[in-house]
Formats: sequence, structure tokens, C-alpha cells
Amino acid sequence: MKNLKRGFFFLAIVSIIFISYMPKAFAGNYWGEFCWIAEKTEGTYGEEWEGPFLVRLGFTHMGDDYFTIQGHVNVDENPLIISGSAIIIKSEIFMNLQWTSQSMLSPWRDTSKAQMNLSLSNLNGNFWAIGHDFNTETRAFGMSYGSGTMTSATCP
Amino acid sequence: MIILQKKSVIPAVYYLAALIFLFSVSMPKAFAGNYLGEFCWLFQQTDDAHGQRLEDPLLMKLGITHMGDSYFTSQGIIETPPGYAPVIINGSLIIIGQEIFMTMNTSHNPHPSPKPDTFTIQMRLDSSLNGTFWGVGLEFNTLTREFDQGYIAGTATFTDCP
Repeated sequence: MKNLKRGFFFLAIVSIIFISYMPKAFAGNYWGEFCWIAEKTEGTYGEEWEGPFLVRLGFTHMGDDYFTIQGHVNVDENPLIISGSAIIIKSEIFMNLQWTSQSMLSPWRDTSKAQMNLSLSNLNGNFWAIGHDFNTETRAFGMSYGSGTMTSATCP
Repeated sequence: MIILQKKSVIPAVYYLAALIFLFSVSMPKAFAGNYLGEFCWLFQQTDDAHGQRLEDPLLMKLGITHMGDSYFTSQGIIETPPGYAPVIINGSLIIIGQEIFMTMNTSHNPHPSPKPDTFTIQMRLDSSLNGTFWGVGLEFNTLTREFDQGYIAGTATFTDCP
């Protein structure tokens, strides 16, 4: 019985040491998937409405105010694939995102770099993006601008 | 009295040990950044902005970390011929249905060529980890001081890392 008790004490101490080192070894703390409804309200030539789109982003806290992000928006059978980072500055979250999308319905291959700016209080805000695209039929490049709103939503 | 204390200490030790063990087992789920290792593909360009262009395959190495759910982050390189700097990659992978999609950002300074470039690339793999890629980018000629746009597309074939 004495040996068993010693064994459990040893196990408890080893576990405590292991746990105390865990946060350093596993730096990225995955917070889960968060969703927004995005609506485009402005295009390259002015007012332009598109959407709404459901944006899903997986957030991992890397340390301090820094996060890494993966995500997607489902558009027909070809999702828009998002990669980026988020930083909390005072009462706002700034995200720097890159995405790629390829539509089955058009020959365009689209890439974009975007910034999203959300209020920490309600996670709502806005976005703007600059796109650089290629048309595989005409072999022509294109550029685009878009901006709009982001509204926090429950992930379905 | 002494016997009672001993009896109460033993269940407490059991309880503490079990609790800490369960907590430590559940920790990896909370702290998801789980590095899966290095994976390799043969990247063969078959298309550029002007049409078909078959290039020799290049080895792409990606270090992949599972963040949580279907989300992964990656860092890596595309090896180039001896004497040239590698293409540097960072990006994200997402599993959707039976496919893996990746958006990656690359930068490459192909010294001694005066045309450093940056690309945003999408790679799409099936369940065999083979698939295709396409990307749109910009390069700058440091001699003529002119920009040029670029397009690449081709195949990605899963292979053992050397």
C-alpha cells in the first residue's frame, strides 16, 4: 500500500511538471471556428452589392495579441481558401488575409489580399480587398478592388 | 484518529492523480498546434501566362502543423537548381469534403536573374494527396525597373521527402 501511495505521488508530481511545461511546447492555442456574414458593398468602379457570404475562420492564439488564421467561404463547388494573421490593437482586431478562388463557372483564377477590421466589443466591422486575377481563356490579367461589411454570426 | 487521517489521504491521492492524469491527457486538444512533419510534392509547371509551358519538376517541401478542426498551417520551400535561391512558402491548408485546399504565398529572388517575384498560389489535392496548382503573381525587374505579371499552373505529385 505504501508503494502504491508513493507511485501515485510520483505520477502526480510528473504530471504537474509535464503540464507546467505544456504551454511552452504547444504554443498555438486553437480557439475554434468563428463565423461572419460578409456583404460586398463597393467594387472597383463604385457601389456594387454582392453576397451575403458565410465566412468561416479558425483562430489559433500564438501568444500576446497575435493569432494565425485559416478559413474558407463556400461559393458553388469551389471554395475561397483563406490564410492570414490577426492582431489585437487596443479595442480592435485587424486581420491581414490572403485568399485564392477558382470558379467552375468562369475561367478566372482569383487571388486577393485583404484587411478586415473588427470591433472587439461585438466582432462586427468591415473589410477591403485588392485582387489580382488571371483569365485562362483570354490569357489576360485583371485587378480589382472590393469592400464591405462583416457581421458576426453563429456558425451553422 | 490517526487511522482515519490515513484513510482520507489515500483516496485524495487517488483522486488528485486521476484528475491530473485526465487533465494532461486532454491538454493536446486545447493546445492544438500539433506539428505533423515534413511532406513533399513534385511541383511541375505545365502552363504560364502565354499558354503551355512544360518545366522540369521541382521538389516542394512543406512542414505542416494541425491547428484544430480541418485547419492546418504550413511553411516550406520549393527547391531550385543549384546556385539559385529556393522559393519560400507560407500558407494554410483546409480539408473540405474529400479534398485538401491550400492557399500559399511565395517569394523568390532568383539571383543572378534580376527578377524577384511574389505569387499567391492555390493547390488542390485529392485523397491520394496528388492534385493541381495555379497561381498569380508579380515580379520586378531590378535592371529595367519594370513590373511584370505572372501566371503559373501545373501538377503536384505527392512523393517521399529525400
